[in-house]
Amino acid sequence: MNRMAAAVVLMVLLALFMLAGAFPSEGGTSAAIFKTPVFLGLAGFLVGLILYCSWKGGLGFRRIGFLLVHLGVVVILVGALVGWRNGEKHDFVLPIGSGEYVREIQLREGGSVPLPFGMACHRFSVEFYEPQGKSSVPRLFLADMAFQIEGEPVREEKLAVNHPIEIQGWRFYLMSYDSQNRAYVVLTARRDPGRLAVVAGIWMVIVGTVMLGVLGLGAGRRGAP
Amino acid sequence: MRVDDQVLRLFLAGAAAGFGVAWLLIWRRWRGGFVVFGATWAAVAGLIVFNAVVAGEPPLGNMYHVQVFLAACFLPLFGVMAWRGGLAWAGHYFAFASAIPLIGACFMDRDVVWRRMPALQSAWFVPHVTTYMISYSLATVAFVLLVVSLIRRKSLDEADRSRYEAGQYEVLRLAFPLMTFGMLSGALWADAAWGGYWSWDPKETWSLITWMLYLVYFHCRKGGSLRRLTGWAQGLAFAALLTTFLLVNLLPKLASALHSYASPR
Repeated sequence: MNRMAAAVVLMVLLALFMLAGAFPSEGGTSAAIFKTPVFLGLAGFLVGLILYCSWKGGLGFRRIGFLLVHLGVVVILVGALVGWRNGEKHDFVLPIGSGEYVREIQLREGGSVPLPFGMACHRFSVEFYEPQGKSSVPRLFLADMAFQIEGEPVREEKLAVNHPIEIQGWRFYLMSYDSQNRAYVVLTARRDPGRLAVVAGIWMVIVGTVMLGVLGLGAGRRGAP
Repeated sequence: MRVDDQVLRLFLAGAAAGFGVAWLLIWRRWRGGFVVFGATWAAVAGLIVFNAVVAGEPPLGNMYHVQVFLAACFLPLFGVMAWRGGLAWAGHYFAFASAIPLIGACFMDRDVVWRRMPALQSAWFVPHVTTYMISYSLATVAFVLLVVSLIRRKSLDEADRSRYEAGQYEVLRLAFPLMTFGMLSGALWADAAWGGYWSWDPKETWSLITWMLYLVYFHCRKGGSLRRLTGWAQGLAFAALLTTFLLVNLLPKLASALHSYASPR
C-alpha cells in the first residue's frame, strides 16, 4: 500500500472511531472512548505516518506549507499526550468574601491538591441585560480574586468568563456560582504542561493550510463547460 | 425595536425567490441574472445591518442570524472564485446556494434580538463563526457542483467533467483553510473559556469528523487510483458538515451541552 492510501485508510478509521463518540450518551459523555488504547494506537500510527511522509518528502521552500500542516498535527498530538499524562484539571468551589486564603483544592471525590500559593475570592458581581419577557440573560460575571504568593505582595486580579488567570503554572477559570445565596464561585483549576505545544501546533496547522490552500488558488483549469 | 415576524418571513421568502430567479436567469444565460443576484444580495446585506442594529451586537447570535449571514456569503465568494479560481461559468450555482439558508430561515424561530452572554463575549467569537460560515458556503457550492456533475454525467464530455472536478477542488481548497481556522480558533477560544482546548463535545467531534473527511478528499485527489473516490469522500464530508451545522442548533437536547446557546441553561 502506498503512503497516500495508508493515510486515507487511517483517516477513515479515525473518522469511523470518532463516530462512536459523536453521539451524546445517557447521563454523561461518550468522550471516554477517546482514551481507549485503540484510539491512542490509531493516533500513534498517524504520527508515525506523518513523520515518515515528512521525512521522505525532503525539505524545500515549496514544502513549507506541507510541513507546517503535517508537523503541526504531530506537535498538537504530542502536546495533548503530555497534558493528558502529566497535567491535571479540577473543578472546585471557593467561598466568596470569607477573608481566608485557600491553599489546597478540595476534590469532590475526596482528597485534596496542594497549591503553591493561597487564593481567595473577595467579591463576586453579576449583571443582567434588561429583561425581555420571562428570560433574563446574564451580561457579566466577575470575581475579584486575590493571590498570596510567598515573599510577594498580595496580587489582586479580576477573573471573568473567557479571561482565565494564570499563576505559577496553574490557570483558573470562572465556571459558575451559587445563584441562590452567592456564597461561593465554582472554578476550574488546570495545570497543563502540554498546552503551549498544542497552541503552537494549532498555529502551525492554520498557517500551513492557508499556505497550501488559499495562496495556491487558481492552479485549476479555467473555462466554461 | 419591535420587529413584525410575518414581515420578516415575507422578506426572507422574497429574497430566496430573488436568488432563485437569479439562478434561472444566469443558468439560461438570459439578461439581467447578475443584476437580480446583486440586488437580492444587497437586500440581504441590508437585513444583516438591520439585525446588527436591532441586536446591538454582531448579528451571529442564533440560527436565524447565521442563516441570513450565510446567504450573503455566496456572491462575494463567487467574485473571488471567478477572479482567482476560474469559476466565472459557475455563477448560477452560487445564486442557487444563496437561496438555501433563507428557505431554512423561513421555517425556524427568528429572534432578531440577541443578548450576548458572558461565554460568547470573546474576541474569537466573530472570526470563529464567520470563517466557519464562509467555509460552509463554499463547501455547499462544491457539493452542488458534485451533484450536478453526477446527474449530468452522461451528457458531459471528458473536458466538462474535468472542469466540474477542478471547480470543486478550487472551491474546496479555499474552503478548507477557513474551516481549519474555524475549528482551531474554536479550540483556542475553548482554551480560554472552558478550561481546555478540546472536550470531545459532540459538536467538536462532528466538526473534527467533517474536517478529517475533507482531508480524505484532498488525499484521494493526490493519490493516483484513489482519485476515483473523491466524489464519495466529498459527499460523506458534506453529510458530516450538515450534521455538525444542524445537530446542535436544531436538536439541542440530543447534542451538545457546551455549544447550545439558544436558550438560557
